[in-house]
Amino acid sequence: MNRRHFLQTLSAAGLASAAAPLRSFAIANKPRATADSVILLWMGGGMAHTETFDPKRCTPFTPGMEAESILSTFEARPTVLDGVSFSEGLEEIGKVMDRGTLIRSHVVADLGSILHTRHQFHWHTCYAPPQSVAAPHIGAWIARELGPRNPVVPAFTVIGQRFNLGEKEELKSFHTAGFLGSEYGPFIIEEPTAALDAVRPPAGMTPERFTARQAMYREMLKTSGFAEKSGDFQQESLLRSMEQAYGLLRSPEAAAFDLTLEPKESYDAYNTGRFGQGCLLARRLVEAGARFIEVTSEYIPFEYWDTHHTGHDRAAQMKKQIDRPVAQLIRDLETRGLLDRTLVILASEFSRDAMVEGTAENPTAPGIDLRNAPPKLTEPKHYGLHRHFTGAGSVLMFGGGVKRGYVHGKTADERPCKAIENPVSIADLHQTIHHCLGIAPDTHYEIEARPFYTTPDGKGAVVQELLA
Amino acid sequence: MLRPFSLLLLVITSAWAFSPEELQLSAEARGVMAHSCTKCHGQQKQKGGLRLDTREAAMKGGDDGVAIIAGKAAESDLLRRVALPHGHEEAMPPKNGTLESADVETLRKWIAAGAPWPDGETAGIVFQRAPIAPRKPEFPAGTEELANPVDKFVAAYFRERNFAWPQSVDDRTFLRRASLDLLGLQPTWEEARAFSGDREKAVDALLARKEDYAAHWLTTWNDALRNDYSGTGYIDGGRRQISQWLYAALRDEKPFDVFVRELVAPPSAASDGFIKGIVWRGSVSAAQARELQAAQSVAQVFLGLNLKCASCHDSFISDYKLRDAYELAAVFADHPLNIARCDKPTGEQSGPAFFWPELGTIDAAKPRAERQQQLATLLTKKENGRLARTLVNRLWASCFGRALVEPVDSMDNKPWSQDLLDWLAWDFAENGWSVKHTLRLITTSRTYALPSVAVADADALGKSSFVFYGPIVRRLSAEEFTDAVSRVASPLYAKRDLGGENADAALAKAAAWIWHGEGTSQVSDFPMGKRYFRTSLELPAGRKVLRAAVVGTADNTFTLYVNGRETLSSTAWEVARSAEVTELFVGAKSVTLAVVADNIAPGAAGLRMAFGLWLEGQKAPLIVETGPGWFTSASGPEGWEKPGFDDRAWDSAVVVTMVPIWDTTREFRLTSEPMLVRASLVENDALQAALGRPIRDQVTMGRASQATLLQALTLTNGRTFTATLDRAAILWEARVPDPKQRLCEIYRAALLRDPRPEELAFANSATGDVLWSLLLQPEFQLIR
Repeated sequence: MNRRHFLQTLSAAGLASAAAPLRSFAIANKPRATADSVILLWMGGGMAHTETFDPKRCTPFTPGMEAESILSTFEARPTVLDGVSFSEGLEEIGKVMDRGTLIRSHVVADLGSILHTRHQFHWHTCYAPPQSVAAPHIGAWIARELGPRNPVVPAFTVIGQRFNLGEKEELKSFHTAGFLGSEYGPFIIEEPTAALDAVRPPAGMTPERFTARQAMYREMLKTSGFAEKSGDFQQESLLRSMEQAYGLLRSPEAAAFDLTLEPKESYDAYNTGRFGQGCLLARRLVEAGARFIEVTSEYIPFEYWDTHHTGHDRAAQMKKQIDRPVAQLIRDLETRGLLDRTLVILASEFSRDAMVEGTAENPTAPGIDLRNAPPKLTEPKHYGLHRHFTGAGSVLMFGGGVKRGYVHGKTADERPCKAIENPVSIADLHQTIHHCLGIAPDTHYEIEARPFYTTPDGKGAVVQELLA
Repeated sequence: MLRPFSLLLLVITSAWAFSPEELQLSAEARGVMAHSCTKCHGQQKQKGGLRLDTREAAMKGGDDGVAIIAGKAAESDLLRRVALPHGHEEAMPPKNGTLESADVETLRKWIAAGAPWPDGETAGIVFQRAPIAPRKPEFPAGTEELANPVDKFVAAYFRERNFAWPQSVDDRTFLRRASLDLLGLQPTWEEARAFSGDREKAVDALLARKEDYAAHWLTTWNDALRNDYSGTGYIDGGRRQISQWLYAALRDEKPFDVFVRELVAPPSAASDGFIKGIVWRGSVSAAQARELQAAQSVAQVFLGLNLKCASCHDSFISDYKLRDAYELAAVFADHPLNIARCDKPTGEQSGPAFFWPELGTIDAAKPRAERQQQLATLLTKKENGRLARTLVNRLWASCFGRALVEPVDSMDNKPWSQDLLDWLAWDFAENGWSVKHTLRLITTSRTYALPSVAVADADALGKSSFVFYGPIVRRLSAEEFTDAVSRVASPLYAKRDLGGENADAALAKAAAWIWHGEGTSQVSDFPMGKRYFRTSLELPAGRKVLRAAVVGTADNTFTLYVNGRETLSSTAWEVARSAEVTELFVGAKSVTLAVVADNIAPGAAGLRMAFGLWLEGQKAPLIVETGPGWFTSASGPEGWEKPGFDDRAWDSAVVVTMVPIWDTTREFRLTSEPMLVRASLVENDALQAALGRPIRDQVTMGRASQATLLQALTLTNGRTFTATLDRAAILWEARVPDPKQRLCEIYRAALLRDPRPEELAFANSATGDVLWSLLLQPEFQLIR
């Protein structure tokens, strides 16, 4: 089946059910696409801007120190950009910042009492939960609007998040295509090193047997007499999807999922753990023709970037996880000539602060574990940024039509270290991403006879300053 | 002509100037414009300088000149542009696809008739609103020979269209349809063989299977009522299950009016989860406040009425206003509600009321519980025909793949047969609000036995121009498919998240709680950490194993290996896990059970396990239970779980004093027959999710019938499905060693027929592959 035919048949399958025929609408002209693919690097758990891409005055740990005195717990280090420093531990990303844009004024909505997954839902779908219709993940929107770049590579892939821990149900609720229909839902790869299992014949089945099985399937269709009975969309979609799956599982592109094929030197350059492996897999998949990939540092309550305790040490570990592979990903995409058409975004659901929970103007009560935190720090385990801060956050963007070597927005140098220039909302960011991909700003679907846009009521504006 | 809609009520001013026909036409034409034009050519926006919401503006035209020339449809630019193909640069509307041809025709007729438009009327208020009163239509003349009322109405409907009644489907097709529609289960080969051809009797027999019926309809109602065993909100108490109540209500055939009353005005916490809704931690937009969620859900589920628009602002798509939504929400509020428009306070407050004041009022002065009672009464009283219409419309959809009114949540839309809808609704309420009564009526009709209709374009199904010819082809739902796999191949689920009285515990009742013999006799003293347990037994020689099954639980966690194979694990002692493990005993000479259990919290520690083996020629199963004969160690050296491991140095496990709370463990049972755990009774998993079982965060009123690539991938190389087929292949080969005979029996189980001669060649293929190919055939996957 050629690409064109695939895309046509795919769009026919977008009709979710008899009751909700789906077709997207837009009046506005489609912008000229500057990107074909997206890699979203997700810092799940709340990455503190002052510990990463927006360092402030560093106060080293001393027993008895006031928590109030802490803005950053790491020293600032210069990057390749004049006058732009990152927190210690991000030197590799600092070296590629001449290829990227840094937003220091990403302001997410304050949703009251903090629940990580609720903010993650908001960031990924652009809609704050709960919603009365199932909101699609941005990857599903993009998969739906643009289809796969290569018909045998899933259009929307999520790498690294496991769904059997912590707020798993809340995670599932936005890792979905929602009303767009499961055709556009995420292809989930929990373990990057086991990705190949998802795209090859069942374990223990030889290619010959796999081929023979499919041949029997086709033969049975004939002998059953049902091959003649087509004409209904249910059978048509069943047979088409079965052949697609067979094609995908036998395609040479499946090799892209196999990290063991990567030269050792290159593998090692990425391999800081599951996140680094995920970055490598993302690069391989973009090379093979993926449309939207999310690689997550993974969200598990109180783990990774969710630095409720030992915040300083954890931030150091997390930076170690991300620094090399993110920089390597940018370099590799550039070397391969893919960076220009691949939009890489690194973001988190909100930031952190040592004192402020929520926003400074409208603070919310911290969680039980934080309420009793001592105002004076006696042990190193209390040293770090533990509270959830929504007043500012950092987002990195590379390639795909965004500026090289640009910093957007600014935060205050004293508490609260909130955005004080050019705030960028989640809706603005989504509009900007869609713009880069050539998706019209008013793209929407009629769901239960209501218009449902890529952003709530089509709000948010493309941040023109970010674009090259 | 009888008009089922109350459009005419809205067209009262200057009515003297027009004939009833003109008024009707005017209302319809303005309805078309209100739905499709006035968003851009109305009060808010006047694209191209054109406004179509008032007569004066519409007749004046826009920047391009006059749009409507009264009496001259062919020369009217409006008509020319709505008739252009979608995509044409002058086509109108440009956004939402072209108008349906019926709408274009309405506009044409209206302009041709002189574009009648009474003074003062706008094109913004003409949404359809279906009447509320119940109605009992007369049976159509000339249908006396038909016994079933459904057939009488459908016969008249066919007659109007000169459509000859086709021949009914054969018995096998009928039984499969009815069994799936009523119980969600395929008939077994034995059931199909035993079918006498008496369809009424067959339907009665199906409806009498209470547990099967409940397990099937649980899926529909869990979708509708947003109930599930896992999902958002449970983690911090923002949501409550109604599973036990719902299952019992379905099994015990709670009359539907009582069912509704108990959900809307819950007599106990068992059924209050529906109106409690889903509360995420933190602040939410006004339109998603708990009370508004309750209003939206009650309206959508019980009245087929979409309040989601009107929860934020006056609806653009229906006659319902922001105030309507708030008034219904106020029933569920402890205080008068502050009305917010688009999440901004309006300064106004709302007291409680119901959409149809003619049905009665709700007393704002009464406490919330009493107001909910009053609402429940208004919903279920005889004069409210809407509740019954909404329900029978859904029952029709589940039996025919397309409802009488679509979408099922927009009961103000026109049905394809008003008389049939009204009669079914009247009959339903008249017969004790018995869902089974109506299902029986439908499934014993000749209409139900009509040949299925193939629809190439899913889009066409939802259109108002739909014409009924018979049931629409459907795909098995996630639950129907997985249940069928569990029966034809091997069981997919061993643990139920719902149900679970300790029935059938007899076979395993002697199993003791054991632990490593350490600490004192006080159970609370056991140290934390992993402990290893083993027991082995030689099997009697020369006896074929018919079945093997195991059940176990541990405080706190365990993993069980049966003959070296990881079989069960659990992290919650409250619900025991069980599994059918027959395939591990094909040709086996012994049984070895090896368990690693972990006491992860200070306090009590215990393991309870039972294994049953059914051997050919022996009536009672061989039971191996925790107790004497189990050995234990504090460490698990390499290979400790393997059958050949030397455990002679291990200690004897000790029977521990039972902690009283352990007695509440559910599901600790070995049943004498393999238990089919229905998919609807277990938590959603990756397989069911891929097959379309929804995340129940929103009210869901139907499943997609379309197959997707992700589904196909899951079914082609997914771990769960593959492992199930592998197990099934071993079991089938052990049970029916002859390949041809086996193929024959697999065909019977899956397709309810024998293989045709040309299909016998498949007997040469691997059994697992035959099963896979069959289970993914349209003949198996689709209900025709």
